[in-house]
Amino acid sequence: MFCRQCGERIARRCLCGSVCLPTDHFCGNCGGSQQQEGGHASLAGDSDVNVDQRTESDSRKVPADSLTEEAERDREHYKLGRSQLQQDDIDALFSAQGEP
Amino acid sequence: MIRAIVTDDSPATRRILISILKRISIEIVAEADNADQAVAACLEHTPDLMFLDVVMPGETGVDVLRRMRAQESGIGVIMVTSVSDRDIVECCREQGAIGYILKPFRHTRIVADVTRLCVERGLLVPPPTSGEDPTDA
Repeated sequence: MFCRQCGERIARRCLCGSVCLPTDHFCGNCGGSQQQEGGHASLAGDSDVNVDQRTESDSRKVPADSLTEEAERDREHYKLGRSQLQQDDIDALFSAQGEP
Repeated sequence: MIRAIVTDDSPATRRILISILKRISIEIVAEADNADQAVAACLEHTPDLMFLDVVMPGETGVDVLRRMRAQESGIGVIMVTSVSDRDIVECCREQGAIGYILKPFRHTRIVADVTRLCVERGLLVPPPTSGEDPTDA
């Protein structure tokens, strides 16, 4: 992933799918090397996210595919109750917290 | 400086959250990837805030909330999770969470919510409204 402003690399993806910082020596998820020549990141076939595939509205999100996949897994895991809320519903619920 | 703990079993989420929080001058005193680590870190560091995931291996974030509440820690807990189930959200609120942010989040959302909650808890002075001279006594 690259910064849309300056083009600087801001993240890369390990073979295991986790997002790593360019300064990381090892993947925080699988421990794979990120620095050595031919390390996980480059073995992944230059697997950085293609910024051209991202829409303008996505540009301010924390967008990594792995985070979205994790979110989906968690949703599946916890799909048990009456209804699913949107962020606005949750905000309303919490803002009513302090009211008498 | 406001001190915080980030608890999430996903290293990537922790890293992104921490980078956002550091940019708004919040000091991260500890990270945790499970409930026991989170509770231990709270006892050791007594932070102002804790960012807490719901789904983690072993005990959940809701369990952490219950344990923190039992200890009357006074730490402001902000849930950061993809779980949007009404029962879970209400349970977190009842157990004392002060905020609830759904994943995947926007960094502007984190900044706005954290700033607002810090002002509400007296950890931050509200920014001056537009047109107001901050140097006025």
